[in-house]
Amino acid sequence: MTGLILENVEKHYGSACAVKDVNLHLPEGKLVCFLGPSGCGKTTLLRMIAGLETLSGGEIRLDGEDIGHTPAHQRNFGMVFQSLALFPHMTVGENIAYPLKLRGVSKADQQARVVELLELIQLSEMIDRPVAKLSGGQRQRVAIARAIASRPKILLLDEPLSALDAKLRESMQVEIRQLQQRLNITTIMVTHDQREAMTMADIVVVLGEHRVQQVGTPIEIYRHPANEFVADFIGSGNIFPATALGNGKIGLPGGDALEVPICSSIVVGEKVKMLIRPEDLQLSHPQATAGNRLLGKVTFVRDIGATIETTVECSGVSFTALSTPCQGFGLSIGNPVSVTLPAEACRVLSA
Amino acid sequence: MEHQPLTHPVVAAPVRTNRGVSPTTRAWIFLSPSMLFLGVLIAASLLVLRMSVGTKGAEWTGFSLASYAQLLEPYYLKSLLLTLRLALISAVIAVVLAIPVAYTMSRLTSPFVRRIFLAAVLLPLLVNLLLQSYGWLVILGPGGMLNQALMGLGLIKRPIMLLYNQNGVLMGLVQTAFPLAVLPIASAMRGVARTYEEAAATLGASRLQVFRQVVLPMSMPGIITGATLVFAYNASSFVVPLLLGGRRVPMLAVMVHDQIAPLMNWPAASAAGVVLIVTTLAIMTLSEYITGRRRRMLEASQ
Amino acid sequence: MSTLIKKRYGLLPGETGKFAGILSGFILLLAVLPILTMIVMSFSGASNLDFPPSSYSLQWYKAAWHTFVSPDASDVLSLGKAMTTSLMVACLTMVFATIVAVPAAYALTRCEFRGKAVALQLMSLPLVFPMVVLGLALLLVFDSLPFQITTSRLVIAHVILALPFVVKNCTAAMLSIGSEVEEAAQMLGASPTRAIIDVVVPLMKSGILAGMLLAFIVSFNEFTVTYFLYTIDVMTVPIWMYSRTVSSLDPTVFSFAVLIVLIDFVLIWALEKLVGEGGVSF
Repeated sequence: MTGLILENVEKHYGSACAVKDVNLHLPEGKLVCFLGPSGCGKTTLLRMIAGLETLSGGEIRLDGEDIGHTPAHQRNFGMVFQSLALFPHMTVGENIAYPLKLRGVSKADQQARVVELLELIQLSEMIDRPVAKLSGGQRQRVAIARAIASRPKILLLDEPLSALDAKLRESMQVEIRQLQQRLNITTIMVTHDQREAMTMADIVVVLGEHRVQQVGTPIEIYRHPANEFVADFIGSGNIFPATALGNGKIGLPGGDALEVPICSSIVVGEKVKMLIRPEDLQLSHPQATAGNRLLGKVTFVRDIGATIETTVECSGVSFTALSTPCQGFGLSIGNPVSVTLPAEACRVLSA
Repeated sequence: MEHQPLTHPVVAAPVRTNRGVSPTTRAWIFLSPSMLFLGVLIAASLLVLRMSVGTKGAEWTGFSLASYAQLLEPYYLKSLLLTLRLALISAVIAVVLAIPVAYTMSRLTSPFVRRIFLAAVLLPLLVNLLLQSYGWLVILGPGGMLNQALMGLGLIKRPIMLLYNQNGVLMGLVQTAFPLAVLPIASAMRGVARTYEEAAATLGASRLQVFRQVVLPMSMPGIITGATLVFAYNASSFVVPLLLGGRRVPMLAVMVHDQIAPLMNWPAASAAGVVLIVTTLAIMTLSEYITGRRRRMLEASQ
Repeated sequence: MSTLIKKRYGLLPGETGKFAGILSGFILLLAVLPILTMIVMSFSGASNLDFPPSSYSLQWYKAAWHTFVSPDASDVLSLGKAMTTSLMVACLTMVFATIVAVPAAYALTRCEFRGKAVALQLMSLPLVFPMVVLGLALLLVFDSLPFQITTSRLVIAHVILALPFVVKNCTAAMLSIGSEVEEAAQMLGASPTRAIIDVVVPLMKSGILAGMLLAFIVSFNEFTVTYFLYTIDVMTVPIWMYSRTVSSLDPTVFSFAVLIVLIDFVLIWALEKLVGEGGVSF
């Protein structure tokens, strides 16, 4: 099997567990994001793949070969660190040429490759500039160029954009994605910003509480979160408790019943957690409760210009609905309003 | 541009396991040369310990506690108490003087002034103790600067004896160990972020209050370290009491030397040496205990 | 305009006020007073120790120069010899202390290992260890050896004394470099040793140099342990000066003293230019 395979990978520091039960198959040529809150073990996982941390258990295989015991400098992976770690005592050209120098590439070939890469990142005139004289975005690009100079099999990025300001970050996200696609290089990126993951990744691996919570494409994860953790972390959501009533219905705390697609294996009376995304809720003029249309009261309104967030209290649950100005009809706190929860938009989350 | 895997492998050598030496072993290998030299200190202590229970004439083979018994004689006890007292007083004075200097140093912005300050602070520590004692001889002598100044101010009528007694020695001790107090305190104060002072100011504290109630308590570990260093350094001070005190200020280190030359009483010298070592270690341990607790307290609140 | 506003506003919190500044300046003046006194005294025209001197002249410098070049063999020889010994011991101390301190600093900053706290504490030990005890012990050991190694025992003692300074210096330099550049070098294909050579050492150059200077200064000025360990053949400059003044205080000494202080000051200045404050804190 080609690609990178992690099997039962785990890491302990003494009695504390950093990450465990990691089983992943990362196909070639894709951009994979390790996404999760801080402390969930995503950086540890990346560093284990890089060879900068040892494995406490499990195996890492690349194209069938076990690389778990290979030292970092023999793995031929490119890595961009959070602090970029450009060598301050070398110029831009020397930094990029360093991996080639280590591999005994001739001076002429080194020069040619450096020129080629600088052209790729559009910094051709910076070849002799000392690193300290570059801007944040320029350093970012040099770090990436240096990492791919030796044509590594895998590119690893550790929160590469966290030090940049918002506007630069967004343009770099696109640039990195385009570069990765152009080179068709397998890339693993660690981030805690779910919007970044959604923008850039082919595959998202959601990590939480030291284990893998879900693996899938960004849209899969958004539309069909595997559990409450993922639902809560990706996008904003309305997660509320309910009781299974049988016959494809659930009961809300306030007493009303909703028709939802529910697995028949769920026992009547069982407590479940439900998810509905704010943009799926429909607000309308107050009418009596019927089917999946509940009557409630507005408790908070937030008009951010492009969208309006309305918080409604109904049937013992607080829902936040998202609407555009043309959909809205001027609600304020205290107004009664009807909220429709379309059945197909409601998701049961595994407990 | 196509992305091809590199045709030359990174290293032609076969894959080695990562399990070489454990990090602990590796670290201690790096530390071994220094530990070797520091080990000399440990060995020296043990050596001196052994010698202190030897007898004169049969130094390595004999065994007796006579040297320690000798230390309990009033002459030596006085010397021990004198040493401890002078060390303690000098530590207190040095720290008190060091605090404003350390504070200024930690808040300076101009690099040039900073360098002057640092040079001025380091000089007393590094420059030959001998030379500085000579300078003190000039300052403290009957015709010296201090006496002339005091007489000029009308505070005294005749020159006072500052040399060859405890006062002169005390001044010398404070001055030479002063840098040992300043550096840790300055380092601690630099660690007290300016934002704390600014926060206190917004809550209504005056500059003096801010200093007393915010900066000072937060720099306590540095202050204790400074006091400890000065105490330990001065307890074993040799040149200063020798040159500035003459025969009148027999601090322990001078005692040790006297036992060797002219008395050639190695066991007695060693016994005094052991007392010095024990005192030093006791102070260091105590201070480490106190600063450890405070440091944990500070860290917990951040 | 802004200075006007500042004057009305008073001092910002966190700045040093005039009071603190003047007080510090005064205290520092006291701290270097003996040194300053000596410098002034070396220019004294009188032959007593009165301060301030009644007249000024360069007579003591002339006398010092005279000692240096005089036909009186014993004086010249002994000063020349003492200077040579001092320089040799200081240079050896410089080299050995640095060789020993750099790996130690690496271990203390980069590695996590059991006993790290103990090792850190041990590094400060020479500062507070009673030097007389060290001198005594070294005397005991080396006197009972069948052969003489007078210079080496000085070097050993001086290296021990210089260790805390040099190690602190190098640790500060290494901390400022950070461990990610080393890991980056490894990821690019450099073996751990190669990474240290290619990345850490070049960045640490100024720190190492500063440490060497510090070791030199400490060794050159050391008196206490040297006093225990010296012999007629192996004398350093401080001991030489002491021997000349045992009976009476000869102001010639002051001119030598000024020379030494000058050397010290220049070295410290160079030191600071290289590492700044971080390298000399405890």
